[in-house]
Amino acid sequence: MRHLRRSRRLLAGLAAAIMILSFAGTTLAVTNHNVNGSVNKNGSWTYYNTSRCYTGGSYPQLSLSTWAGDNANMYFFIRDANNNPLGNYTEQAPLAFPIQNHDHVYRSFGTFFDAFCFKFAARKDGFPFASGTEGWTGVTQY
Amino acid sequence: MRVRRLALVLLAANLIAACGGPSASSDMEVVGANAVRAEIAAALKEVPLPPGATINPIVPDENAGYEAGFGRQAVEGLAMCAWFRYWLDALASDRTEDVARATETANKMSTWAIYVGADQSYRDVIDNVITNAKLGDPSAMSTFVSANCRTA
Repeated sequence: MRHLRRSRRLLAGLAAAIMILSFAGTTLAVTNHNVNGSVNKNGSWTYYNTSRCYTGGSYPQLSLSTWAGDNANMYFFIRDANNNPLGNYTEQAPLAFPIQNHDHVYRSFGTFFDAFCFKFAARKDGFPFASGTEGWTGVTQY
Repeated sequence: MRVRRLALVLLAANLIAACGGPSASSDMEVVGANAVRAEIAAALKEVPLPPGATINPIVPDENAGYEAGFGRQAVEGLAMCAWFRYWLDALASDRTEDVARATETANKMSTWAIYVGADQSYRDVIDNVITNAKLGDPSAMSTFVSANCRTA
């Protein structure tokens, strides 16, 4: 009997959590978008193709994770159709993520116009004499 | 026991629904500036431009790496801006033949690499811009050009 009551409580709690999550998903303007890519290990910039747009109400934020053991910082800026930097960050003064083994940090690119589209450029330091590429993953919010 | 199993199924279904979304491949090919220049040269011969329009795609950094396809998408992005500008001018001056020409090209943009390779947020914006312009409302296209084609 006690077991049945506990199961019912579990189910009721779960149903409530799902309802709250569903409600939040339909009412909040900010959504998460996965981003990832391969970045050069030699410390140079890598330019990515995939365009993204946000349509107002928020501004792009970026959180990142990287492989364990890298201990390397990552840098980003975003760019327009003609590869000019957008927002508050440039190739010379990029958005910096000091990363220490799976450190998740949030950074913001700033506020832009409505229907604003952008692409990424990324760089990773810490192993300037290495060659090849390495993967990175992250989440943008807009 | 049955209740617990049902709860697990519900939880799994919700997690699957929450985790959807496009993402680029992390094992993408990275190419150098020379390869990008070759892509740009090839794309300039294939991607249509409005009458009288010119574009100037650039390779921004000689020492950088580029996701394969970068040059093609650079040309297509600039061409898209050129067509939207042409469309807006044609609408403003009531040039119906030019509107038809721009519409015909826009109908094919969903096959362009820049559209196919983009995430859903980009495709939604482009679809909205084109759909409204076809209906005679250029406001979304005008906003897009102001926000995204300033240097194109």
